[in-house]
Amino acid sequence: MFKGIKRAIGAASAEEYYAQGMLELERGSSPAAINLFGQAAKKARDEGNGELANRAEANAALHRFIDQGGAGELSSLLRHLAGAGWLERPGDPSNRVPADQLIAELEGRLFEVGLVHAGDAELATAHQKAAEAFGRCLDHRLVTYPHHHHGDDHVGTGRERHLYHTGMSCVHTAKDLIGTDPDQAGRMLGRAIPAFAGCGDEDWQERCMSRLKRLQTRRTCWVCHREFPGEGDYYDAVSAHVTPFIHEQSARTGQDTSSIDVQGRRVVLCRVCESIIEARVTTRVSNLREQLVSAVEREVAQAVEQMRQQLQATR
Amino acid sequence: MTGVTEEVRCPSCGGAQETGPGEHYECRFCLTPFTYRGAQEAQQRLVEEIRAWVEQRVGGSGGEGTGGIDASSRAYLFRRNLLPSLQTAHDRAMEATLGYQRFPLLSGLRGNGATSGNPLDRERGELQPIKTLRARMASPDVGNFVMTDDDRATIRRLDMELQVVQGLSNVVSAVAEGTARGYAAARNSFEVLLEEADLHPATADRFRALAELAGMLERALDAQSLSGTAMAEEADRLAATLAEVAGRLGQVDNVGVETSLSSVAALKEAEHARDLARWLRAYDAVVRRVDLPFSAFVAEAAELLGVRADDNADRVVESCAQVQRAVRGEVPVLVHDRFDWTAPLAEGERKGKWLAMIGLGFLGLTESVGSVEELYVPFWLLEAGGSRWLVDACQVTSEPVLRLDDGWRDVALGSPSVLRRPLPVPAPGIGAEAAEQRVRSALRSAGSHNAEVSDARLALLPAARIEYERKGRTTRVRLALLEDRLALGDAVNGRLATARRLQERFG
Repeated sequence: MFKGIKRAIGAASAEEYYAQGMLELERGSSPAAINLFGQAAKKARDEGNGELANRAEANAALHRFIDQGGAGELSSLLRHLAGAGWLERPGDPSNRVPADQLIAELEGRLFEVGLVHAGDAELATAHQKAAEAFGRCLDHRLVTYPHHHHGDDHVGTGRERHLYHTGMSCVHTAKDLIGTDPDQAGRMLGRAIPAFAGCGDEDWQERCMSRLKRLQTRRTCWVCHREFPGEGDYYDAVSAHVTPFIHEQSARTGQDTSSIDVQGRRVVLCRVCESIIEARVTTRVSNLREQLVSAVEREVAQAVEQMRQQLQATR
Repeated sequence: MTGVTEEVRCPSCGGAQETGPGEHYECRFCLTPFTYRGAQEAQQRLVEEIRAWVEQRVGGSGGEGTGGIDASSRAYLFRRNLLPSLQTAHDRAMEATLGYQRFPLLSGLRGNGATSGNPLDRERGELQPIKTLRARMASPDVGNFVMTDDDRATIRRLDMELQVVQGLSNVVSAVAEGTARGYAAARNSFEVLLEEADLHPATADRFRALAELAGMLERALDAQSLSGTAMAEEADRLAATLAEVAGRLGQVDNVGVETSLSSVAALKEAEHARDLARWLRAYDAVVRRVDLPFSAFVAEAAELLGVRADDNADRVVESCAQVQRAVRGEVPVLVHDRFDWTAPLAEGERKGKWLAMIGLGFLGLTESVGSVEELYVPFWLLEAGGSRWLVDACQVTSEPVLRLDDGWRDVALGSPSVLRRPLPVPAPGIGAEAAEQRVRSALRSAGSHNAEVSDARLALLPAARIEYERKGRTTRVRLALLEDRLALGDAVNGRLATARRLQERFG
């Protein structure tokens, strides 16, 4: 009670405010703790204890971030961390986290904030930068993620986040490469899979594997006889009238029979041939439509003219 | 065709066999049984099929001696009519196996179903064209048209990729048997690949380690007796090699997708090698009978322990071995060694004792203490969040963990010591990792999401099993732990019986 009175009249020391702040955290009241850390910081500055002031400011910013998020709090936390030396681990205050370890984690977090605003073309680089930041705290248990994170489940160690961002960077690089170098895109997906396996992300592993399989499958176009890699990217199977005889005939002449699906009644068409056919069909349909519209317009005009003449005759 | 009658090849996978005097063979790679005559007939059919295929592609010029066609015409025919067809057939055959590189080639001793999902296993039927295709590429009928070094290199590259897939498909199929002969066949396949295929250095190191591991499994499962500890050290060394190779495979640039994918598999193989080491060490610790082979121990231990293969049987077996060593006084263990409370507790809880005190013992309502069996109960001790935590090692199902706060200072579990009394110990039902998970889960429930959790250490706590009787018949059994200050789950009875069964079976 005496300590409470001292705090109420502002006579408590910085360390007392600080200790009370930690106690409030244990009780689960972070707004009260944040307030007490603020007071501890002010007192510590007055007492000339810079390290404690920085630790109190850093703790206040850390718990504001845990409660509400926000890049501003991250920057404030980073500013005070270097002078704090260490910080109590949230949820386990007996465990001290060295400042440099937390700085690497927060820098990674800041790159993640940047990811939200990055355009498609910048995503591969942005993920790579985040991966590099987490690469500086590979074996450290993450401090802020278990308390504040939305999205993926990689909140254990720096290595998990490093591998996750490495995988994502490879995925976006692969996306960028599909149009120019599908083989290299495949290699990038091949590098993403071990990264996702390393951080235990089965979902992304399967997505990459399925994409890689489609990218590595090659088929010969029924029309132009060119072979292309990449189902869905460079070729599609389209409906066609195919019979066992056509399959047999193709086999006899040494053609690529994997491009014919007799049961599913489909053949493979490369995207180029498909687009040519599509363009021709579109033009033809458009011309037909125009002819039909003008024919209908002519007939309607004639009908209107007839009606007008009939109307005049009845007057 | 020359050499057809000399060479014996498996009609199923096409693998070359060591010729012997007998008629009956078993493929040294895929374990398919066949006869010499059957193999020769299959080989002859294949030769005729290849000849027909070549003639279809190049017209009448594909016969023996190539009909006097000059070299440049043959080279032209090869590139125009034969190579595209071989290349397409190669690509389509490889397609069936896409992604196999992620799957481990050798799994643990138990749970050999770990290959499930591996296209080399799932699509094994689809791999038959590989045998025919390789025979085509090796055939002199095709060879007559391969005129330039470039073409020879192309054929060599295509064949080698197919050889690796075929060899590894044989490995997966043979390993699934889980027997010594299966592992011997797997070792043969690895050795041939290492000798004949141009492998990436990291891949070659991986296959070398796997060949050794397969050889070790073969010896372990075949041996009547073995030194588990010596072999376990070998297995640990191979696990370290595989983990290091996994790191190299994951960082290889500018090579095929296959190489980087196989880093995922190599990591799992390293884990399987460590599991094997656990079983081997447990064999030495648990089995005292000289006549019990390692294979029998593997087959029976998990069943006797009442754990399923997917329950981390290797971790539980490892825990049992740890207990056995501690009981025999071979290794020190954390122990609280006070039993002076057991007799007073048994006496104090005797029902109807006051009737005897007032001279009414003749009514027969007074219980007597039939027996007091003292025992140690295994717990896992961990440190986390500034406290010590105990997890009952006998409780297989999830149970609350116990936090030792200031009131438990007298429970001396500070440093390990050698057991002085040979008392029974129930067989643990969970391993150290499961205990760590339980403590983490308890911490999360308490709002501490990210506390540091130490490695779990085995600790033995004193317990008593008190049997009360009346008129020579057991009336009840009372279990008490640590001066009756801790509740003891019923699982202890079952795990004590398990320990006795293990003792009876393994000596």
